[in-house]
Parts: sequence; structure tokens; C-alpha cells
Amino acid sequence: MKFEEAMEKLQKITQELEQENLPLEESLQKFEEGMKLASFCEKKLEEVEKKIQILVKEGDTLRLKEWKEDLSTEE
Amino acid sequence: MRNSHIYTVNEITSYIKNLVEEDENLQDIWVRGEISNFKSPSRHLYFALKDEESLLSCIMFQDRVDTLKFTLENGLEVVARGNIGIYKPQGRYQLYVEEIFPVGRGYLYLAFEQLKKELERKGYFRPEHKLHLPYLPQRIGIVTSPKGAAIRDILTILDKRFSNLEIVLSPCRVQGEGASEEIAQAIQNLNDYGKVDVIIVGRGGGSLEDLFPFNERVVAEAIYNSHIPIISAVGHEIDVTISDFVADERAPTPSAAAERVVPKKIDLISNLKDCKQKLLHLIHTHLNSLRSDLERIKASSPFKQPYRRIQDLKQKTDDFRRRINSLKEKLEQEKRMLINLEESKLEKNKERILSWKERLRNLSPLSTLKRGYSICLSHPEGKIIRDYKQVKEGERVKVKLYKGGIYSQVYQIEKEENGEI
Repeated sequence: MKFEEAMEKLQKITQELEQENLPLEESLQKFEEGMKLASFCEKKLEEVEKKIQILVKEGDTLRLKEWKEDLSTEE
Repeated sequence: MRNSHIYTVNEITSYIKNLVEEDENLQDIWVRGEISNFKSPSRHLYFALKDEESLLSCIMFQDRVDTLKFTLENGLEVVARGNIGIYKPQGRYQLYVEEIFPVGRGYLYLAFEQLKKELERKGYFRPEHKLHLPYLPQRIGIVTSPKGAAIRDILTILDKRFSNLEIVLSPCRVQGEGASEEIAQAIQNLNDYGKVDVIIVGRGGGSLEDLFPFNERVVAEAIYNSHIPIISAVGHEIDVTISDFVADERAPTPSAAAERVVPKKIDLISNLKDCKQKLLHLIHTHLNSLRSDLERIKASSPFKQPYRRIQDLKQKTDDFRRRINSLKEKLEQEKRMLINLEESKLEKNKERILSWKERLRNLSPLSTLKRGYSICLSHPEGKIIRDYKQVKEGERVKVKLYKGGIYSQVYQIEKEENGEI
């Protein structure tokens, strides 16, 4: 699942819970699902590692190389 | 001139200046070209005339500017009259423009307009061709020069908004001959690589000529054919290129593109935190409301006194019974009253008969005598005496009593008329 989808689902669940007329069972189910989605999103935010690479074509093949440009020294 | 002689910069510059300014071929000449790099920082105008191969710096002083009948702008094809001179502080030769006339529309503008029209006709700019930019890209492709200002701006913004991102730079030159082909190839490479979710294509600000590769057909086609969403960010806010029209989105600057492409991580995190808190709050209020419902029900009488209802019902039946009994009693009473009434009627009749008898008896003179009255009769005539005049003193009378009677003699008469009893 994509972050965006999870976020949308989470918002939908929150809205449904807000309407208040759900039976307890369903309410608890939704709550649990919402909390799971929130954790999923949080994990998703941290899962990518910072990496800057440069895409080069050598002959017919594409290769990723580490890019050495250091931004902090330029500023 | 001798090789051994050392000139000062001014000496050699002045020498060239004289050479140029005394050459009749360079004075009072007409030059045709397209205006570019147009600037007017003061009342003087600075610009260049260019064609496809060369560029000539121009300056127009204020007194000449005042005679202008139209506004100069980049891309305008013009014919200018003036003198070539040397500006010594910058060692630069330039055309000191006396007057200037427009010649149709400039070549680059024309090319831009023509391509734009053609692509528009072909449907390159149609909204149904636009791809949606992902909300949170995992990997971002950037097509620009590794040495330009754009990549620095983009990386700085991305780093600020979302520190842990994967970025793939697909390098290319962004100006000069062959740049458009390189840009197109760089876009194609990212598509072949396939693992980026979005591509920023752009460069920093520059002259119309500098930006022109982004107005060329190869770039337009590469953007159009990309199956990865592309955001175009060429030059400054005011610069509009063909790539802006074809791209799925246009950003005014490379920095703006970076901002558009990635949401702020800090916002996302606080958003998520809010969501979690809201969920917790909602479930708590729900549970609390259920709990208080339960308390209320527990506290309500059927639970507190389970037999109460039965008792209530019993009481009700008792009430009914009592009411029925009282009704019965009332009925009985009515009945009794009716009977009594009958009986009393009979009684009354009896009494009435009796009283009549009594009255009759009372009416007989005997009964009057019984009550103590007596009748006085003359004697011996035996007439009832009612008036004193009926007798005289010394006469004899008979007094009849209830039992027996008395003969007596009148010894005195009372004349008082006392009436009857």
C-alpha cells in the first residue's frame, strides 16, 4: 500500500468513527485499523534512506553512481 | 609596434578604441538582429542583438530612448542604426544605438509560437494526458545540469522538507548547442531506469536563448512520452517554455518544483500524530458514553429492584380488586336503599292511616272532653251554653265532663267577652 492510500483510508476511518452511531464492535475494529494505518504511515516516512545518486549511461546500460556533490559546503 | 614594448591595459585598449572608432566602416551603420538580454536598470537601455551565430552588445542612451516609438523586448527582430565603439572599463565593443526599428517578430519567438501551436493542435497539452504527481514520492528523478543553480536549489529544498529521500540525478547540459537532445535523453534514461515516481525537469534563470532548449521539439516529445509524471521548472516565474505546457505540472522555479513534489515531513508527522490522537479521543468518548449508558441502566429501577415490577403489578391488581369491591358495596347499598325506600313507603302509609284514625277520634267531642274540656248545658233544656247572656244568676246548668257530669247553680256572671279558646 502507498503512503497516500494509507493516509486516505486513515482519514476515512476517522470520519466514520466521528459519526458515532457505530456499534461498539465495529467502532473498536475501525479504531484498531486506524491505529495500524497510522503506524504504517509513520514507518513509511522513516523507511527511505537519504541517498543522492547520478544516473549514467555507459554504452547501452544505465548505472547508478554515488553523487559526491556536498551541499553544505557550497552554502 | 615592437614586441619588446610593454603596454599598459589602458594604452592597448585606447589604441583599439581609436582603431575601431576611426574606421568609417564601423560608424553610422545598420545592423539587423534579434533583441535579447534586454535590461533597463537606469533610463539607458542595455541589450544585445543576435542571430544564430553571433551576439552584439548594444547600448541606447536616454536621449535616444526618448525618441523610441515602441517598447523593446526580447525576441524582437529589429534593425538598429548606430556606431561601434569600445567601452574601456570592460574592454568591450558595442553598438551605440541611435535609432531602432522592429522587423516582424523575432526568430526564436516565432519558433516558439509555431511549435506551441503545432503541439497544441496535436493534443500535447490536453489535461487528459496529464499524469498525477504522487503525494509522497519514494524516489525523485531530476533532469538538470549537475553544475547549475537549479540542482542546488532543488536539493536544498528537498533536504529541508524531507531529509531522508532517494534522489536520482539524470545529468544533462541545459543550454547551448545539443542541450535539447541531452535533456530529452536524460528524461528517456529515467524512464528506462523506471524506479523514480516523479521527475523534475528544469534549470535556473537565464536569457531567452539560454532557456531555449526547453522550447524545442525533442524535449517536448520526451516529456509527452514519459510515463513518469514530470514537473517542469524552467527559469524564473515569468519565463514560460514549451516544456511547461507539455509537462504534467508547471512550477515557476526549480525551488518551487521541489516544494511541490515533496510534502513537509514534519507536517506529515504532526498530521499523523493528530490522526492518532483523534482516533484515541473518539474511541475514548465512545467507550465512555457506552460506560455511562451502562451505569445509567444499572442504576435504573428494574436492575436495582428486580421484583419491583411484579410488586407494582400486584399493587395494581390489589387496587383493582379494591375498586371492584367498593363498586360491589355501592351496588349493595343502592339495592338496600331501594328496598328501604319501599319499606318506608309502606310504613308511612300505615302511619298515615293511624294518624287519620287519631284525628278522627280527636274530632269527636268525647276526645275534647278527654283532654279536659267540658260542655255547659242549660237545665233542664239541655242547650249548649256558649254565651253568658244565655244564663242568669241563680239558674241551674249541667256541666258535662269526660266521665260523668255535674249539676251546678250560676252564682255570678262575667261579662267579659273572652272569645273562644
